Amino acid sequence: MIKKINKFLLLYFPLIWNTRALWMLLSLAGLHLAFYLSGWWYFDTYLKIQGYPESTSIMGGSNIAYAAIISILLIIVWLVFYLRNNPFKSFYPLPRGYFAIEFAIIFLVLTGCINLPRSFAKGFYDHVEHQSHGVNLTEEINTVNLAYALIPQNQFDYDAYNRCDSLEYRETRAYIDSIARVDSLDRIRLQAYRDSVGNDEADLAEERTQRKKDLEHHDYSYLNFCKQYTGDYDTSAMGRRAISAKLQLMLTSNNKAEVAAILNRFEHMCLKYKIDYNVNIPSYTAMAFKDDRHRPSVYLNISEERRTLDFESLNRVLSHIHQARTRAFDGTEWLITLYMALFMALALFSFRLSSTRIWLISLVGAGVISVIYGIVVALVRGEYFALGGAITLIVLFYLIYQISLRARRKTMAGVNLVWFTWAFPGLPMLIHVLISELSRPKNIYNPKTLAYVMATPSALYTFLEDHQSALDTFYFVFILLVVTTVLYRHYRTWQAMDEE
Amino acid sequence: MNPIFEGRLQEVAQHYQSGDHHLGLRRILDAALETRDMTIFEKTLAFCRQTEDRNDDSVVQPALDLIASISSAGVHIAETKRKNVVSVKGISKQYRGGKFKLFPVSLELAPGEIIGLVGENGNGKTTLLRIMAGELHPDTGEITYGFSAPVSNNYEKRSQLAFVQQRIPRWWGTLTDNLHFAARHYGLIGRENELWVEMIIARLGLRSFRMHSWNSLSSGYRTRFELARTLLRSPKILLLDEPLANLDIIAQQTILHDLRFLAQSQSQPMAIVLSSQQIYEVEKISDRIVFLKQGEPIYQDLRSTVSTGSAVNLFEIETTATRDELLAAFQSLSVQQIQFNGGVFIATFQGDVTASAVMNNLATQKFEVSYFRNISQSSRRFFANA
Repeated sequence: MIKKINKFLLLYFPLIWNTRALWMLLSLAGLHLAFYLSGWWYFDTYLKIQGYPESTSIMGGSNIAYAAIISILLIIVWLVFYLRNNPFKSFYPLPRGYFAIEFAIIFLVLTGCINLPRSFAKGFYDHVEHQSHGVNLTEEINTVNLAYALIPQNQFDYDAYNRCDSLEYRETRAYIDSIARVDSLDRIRLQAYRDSVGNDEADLAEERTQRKKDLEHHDYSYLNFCKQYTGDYDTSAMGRRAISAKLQLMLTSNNKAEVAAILNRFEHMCLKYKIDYNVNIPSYTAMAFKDDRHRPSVYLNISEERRTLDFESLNRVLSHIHQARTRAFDGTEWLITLYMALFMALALFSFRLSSTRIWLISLVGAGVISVIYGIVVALVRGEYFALGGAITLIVLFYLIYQISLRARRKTMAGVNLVWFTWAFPGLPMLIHVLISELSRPKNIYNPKTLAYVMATPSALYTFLEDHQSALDTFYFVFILLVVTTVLYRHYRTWQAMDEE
Repeated sequence: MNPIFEGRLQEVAQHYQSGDHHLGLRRILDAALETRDMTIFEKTLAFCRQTEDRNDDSVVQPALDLIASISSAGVHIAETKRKNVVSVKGISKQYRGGKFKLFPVSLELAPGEIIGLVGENGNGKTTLLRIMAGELHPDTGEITYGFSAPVSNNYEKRSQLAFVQQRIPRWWGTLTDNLHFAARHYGLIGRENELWVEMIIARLGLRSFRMHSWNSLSSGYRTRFELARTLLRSPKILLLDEPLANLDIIAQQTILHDLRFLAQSQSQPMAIVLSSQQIYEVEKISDRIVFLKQGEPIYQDLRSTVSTGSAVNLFEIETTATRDELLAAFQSLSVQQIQFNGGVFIATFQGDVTASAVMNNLATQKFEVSYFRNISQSSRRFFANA
């Protein structure tokens, strides 16, 4: 069967046959399926998602290592076959679009190889989503947040200083203070906000008074609790004010039944999600009503009895369940992956279209230039940094020019072409950064406020900042178009050049 | 009915009837290829399979039947315009830092013509071929190619030139797959591709090596493979650099004879330039010879019926006799010079001394002669003083 398919491809689609594209893409599909299933099976209990602090870690660690080893092996095997016969170097007539298809195959294969961890993560999250299908996440987040209030961790959380009103006041101050650290377009917006909240000195005086008042009324109580421990990603979940209000209502109305119900639900969650704990959760109902001022008596983190309740793991479990349900297309992440594949594909494509000798000369040449440039730049520091770098580059390019006068015409043309191919994907982005830097609004010193204020940015700067992802996508498409429709022609001209 | 083609078919029939089955098979394949008819190709390949291991008279009747089929299919005649496919005018080349110089060379080639490039090592044969193939840039002069369709760039030009180098580039996979691959790029698709490749494989005697890889082929068969690949490209110009170097003596004769036949194909005549040091062998099939001596060309038209009017005649003699004995024997023929290069003597006589006269004298003296050749019209004479 395989022989028949190969023969068919050879007689009708020689490019597919020669690049082994069909078998490679099938292998990659199989590998992606295997990685997906590995991810699916990897999630056997909720214990598996407790260990990952961030969603991206699912794609990292051993998963990346396995994927890298398998990808490298697969690429090596593929290259052994792919690099065998090259119709381009045999001067076979090649139809229009031949190079575009060949480049697309290289790009697809490499994209497939470097994205194996994604399939693992997808399998993992699909299983998490499948497993947690019946979970009312908002309700569980609310339960955890209320339980977090009812099972005291830190004394500080119950201080009057941390009640909602105090917090909001302090956070507003913190927000204003953060303006000084912001060095971007946001500064303008923040300056406007600062103007709206009034005079700094007045604010500071008021804060000092409030702080003093808080300390005077030092009073640890469940009634002062104002914290949303988890679930800030869920807009339907109760915020800290709602949690605080609910807590105050239950406690002041002596609603022990509801408190007990919350803690029971919480314990059930702990059991379901395999959360490690050694405390008697239902007993915290009585603790909340121990005195009429509802003061916490036992704190988990300062207890001498080694009480533990792993809220952190529970937080991660809920976060992962949320992530599994709300996974969306991450354009930037994909773009980074695609650019990686593009760089690799261009390196391989240049190897395919030039000769091994030219490619190696280019590689060594680029390495030598980078090392020399790096050494000079490292030695020349301070205000002469830019000048030193520029002079080094000029000298290096002059040396390359001198060498090119002595080298064989075809060799030098090949090296230049390969260098251009490698550098080309970075050029649009480099131009973008240069234009962005040149159009960046200057900071203007305001002697009244003793601070630098950013001038109103130009329309160009705002456009470049606001459309970064869209522009990167455009550059990507542009590079693909240039490579597949223009660049190959230069390689064709080079290939047919006489040698001397 | 094409009389030339019919004449060739009759020759093929005679080969079979006289028992020259191997020669007959090669010629029957040539004739079948001339038809460019897929049905004939299928019949021919069936005939090859049927008679593969047979060399007796039982193959004659199937061969005659096949010849009849080929005859009725007729020959596919190529366009009759006999314009030059390549015209080289005064090209010269000197390598940077090198002492060697190729002096201006001019030659023209029409379809069906063969030019032999001869000369000792390092005299510019390969340089000239590489310039013609577009691999090297000439210092002076120009080359004009008469391709059937205009070419828009150098890559296309080199796609249409077939240059078989002395060192065959390595390939991977099986011999057949590589030929299919080449044929597909030159427009042969599907079944047509299969049949053409099988025919060329059979024609070049590669049937037993169809599934062989590069490593399992001798250098002679690699040359044959390269020729097969070149033929699938249907080139107008075929440039061959030392194609005989890797071949045994029988294979050399076969390939040269085949080249002559392929050049004069009616369906696809091609111009051939081949370099070699096998002077006599190349002279047998070439229309013209370009002898390169330290980069300087000496032209010789072998088709010319006009006598060169040479003042001297030269003969190569391998004998047990000594130089003095030969001088004594040829005294009556007024021998001018006898050279000895360690293997053979080269005797120079006046232009009116014939080969039979020289042989008669040798026989009279009862010398043991193991080799005798008249090189008066051969390029070999240019080596005489070397």
